[in-house]
Amino acid sequence: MTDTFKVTVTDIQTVASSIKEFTLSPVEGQLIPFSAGSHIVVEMPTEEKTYKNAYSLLSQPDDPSHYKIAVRLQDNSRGGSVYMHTQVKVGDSLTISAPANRFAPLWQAKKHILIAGGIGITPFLSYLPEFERRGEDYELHYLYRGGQTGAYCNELSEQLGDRLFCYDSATSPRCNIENLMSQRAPGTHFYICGPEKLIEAVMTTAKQLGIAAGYIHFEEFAAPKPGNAFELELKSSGRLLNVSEEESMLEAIEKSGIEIPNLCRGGVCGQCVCRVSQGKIDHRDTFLTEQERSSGDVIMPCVSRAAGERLTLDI
Amino acid sequence: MQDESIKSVSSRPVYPPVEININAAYHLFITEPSASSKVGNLLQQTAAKTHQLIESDNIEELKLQLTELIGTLPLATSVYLAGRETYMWQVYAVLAELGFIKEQIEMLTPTDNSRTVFCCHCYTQTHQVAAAPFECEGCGLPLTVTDHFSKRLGSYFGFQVNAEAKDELPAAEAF
Ligand code: FES
Repeated sequence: MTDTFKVTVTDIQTVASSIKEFTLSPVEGQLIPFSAGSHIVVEMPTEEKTYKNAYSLLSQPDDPSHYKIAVRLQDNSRGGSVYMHTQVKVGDSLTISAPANRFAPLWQAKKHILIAGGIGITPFLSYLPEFERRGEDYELHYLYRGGQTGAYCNELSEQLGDRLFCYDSATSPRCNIENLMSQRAPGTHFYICGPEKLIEAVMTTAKQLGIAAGYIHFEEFAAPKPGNAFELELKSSGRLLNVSEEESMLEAIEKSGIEIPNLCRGGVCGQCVCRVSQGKIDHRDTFLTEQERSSGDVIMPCVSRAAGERLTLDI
Repeated sequence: MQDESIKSVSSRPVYPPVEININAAYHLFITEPSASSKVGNLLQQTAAKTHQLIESDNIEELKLQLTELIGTLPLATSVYLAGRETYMWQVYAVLAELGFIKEQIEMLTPTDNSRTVFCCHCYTQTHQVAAAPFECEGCGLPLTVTDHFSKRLGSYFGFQVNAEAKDELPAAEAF
């Protein structure tokens, strides 16, 4: 990550039982304005390693005075979310990347249907002011678990009125994806941010209804899942690295002092692609095509791992 | 030199065989009147499904007609186009404007080899060009035709042939 800078945490709010919202202000000057749907990568130096997690910006895109992110405490105690929830205090400084966008709205759409699962609401929060400004036609469908992840329901319902559809899995009927997607006119685009299951449900329903895949856009907020430890060889230098169970390949490589271009750190943007010269791959990204996968000579090290005990990268 | 480098950039569309999208909820055929027989086979396959055939070569009228129709069409509509290459791309542009995405639009093999050429000197489009070089309808310059295709304009990019040696015109060759 070349373009990083320091910010100060100026406010922390608990917005739901498992979600905290952080306000980040520039140490000096102003922050860079961003486009709707952008995220930043936050560095979290813990004792065992430096986590780098991507978080959507949910503040006003044109307001350079501060950024806001929301962090959900992940169920498995692994990862940066614990650090953000337990270590970071108001007044602390954090290193963040410049905003990048891999989930921008399609402005040629006639109507936007946003489907958010829990904390997946965050990228859409920066869509809304843009939609309002441009007079876009949209609906927001917000699925969450009562009290835990439904952080923004009240303020959204004030803002959006009947454009907002809330589904609290604890109290209200489940969202019927098929009803939600049928009876739509050409030019209606769907955006999903949430867990894999929700994305799959929408994709499957689209297929059943005959809706072209180009109408479906999604962002998965998958953090790299742990796996087996393995040995990683870097061909050019002959260096051997150990990738532990809790660590991604990208993290292990970075720890050794080598920089690899990356953006999403979630297997979707394609930035971090590396050539593999030996070893079997456990592909976990959503970027590579089937063909590339089966060729066995490229890997996305931010999420994917070795299927065996050793992997050799051509870097 | 420049001639070569521009000519070598090919964005000529290819037209693989078209099949009915069996998942679609509605099948819309739009053809030039002279090309409607081209979709006969496909139409037959959709006989039992909701479908419609529009024959029109007036793009402006077609635009009005489609704008009205679109409110009644499902999102899962597949469109099939037949006619000359320019015609299909003009209809494509109208559909895109209305919100259709490219996955929904299928084009049959163009009915002839003629090209519409966009003159890079005077910005005029000359239709039904069968061979090049030809004389631009706008500025009268002899134009050579590249394989550089603009989907938005439905035309190929053309520029003056042999600008340095104006009297040496190569013989016209059919596309
Ligand atoms: S960093 Fe985006 S795919 Fe790896």
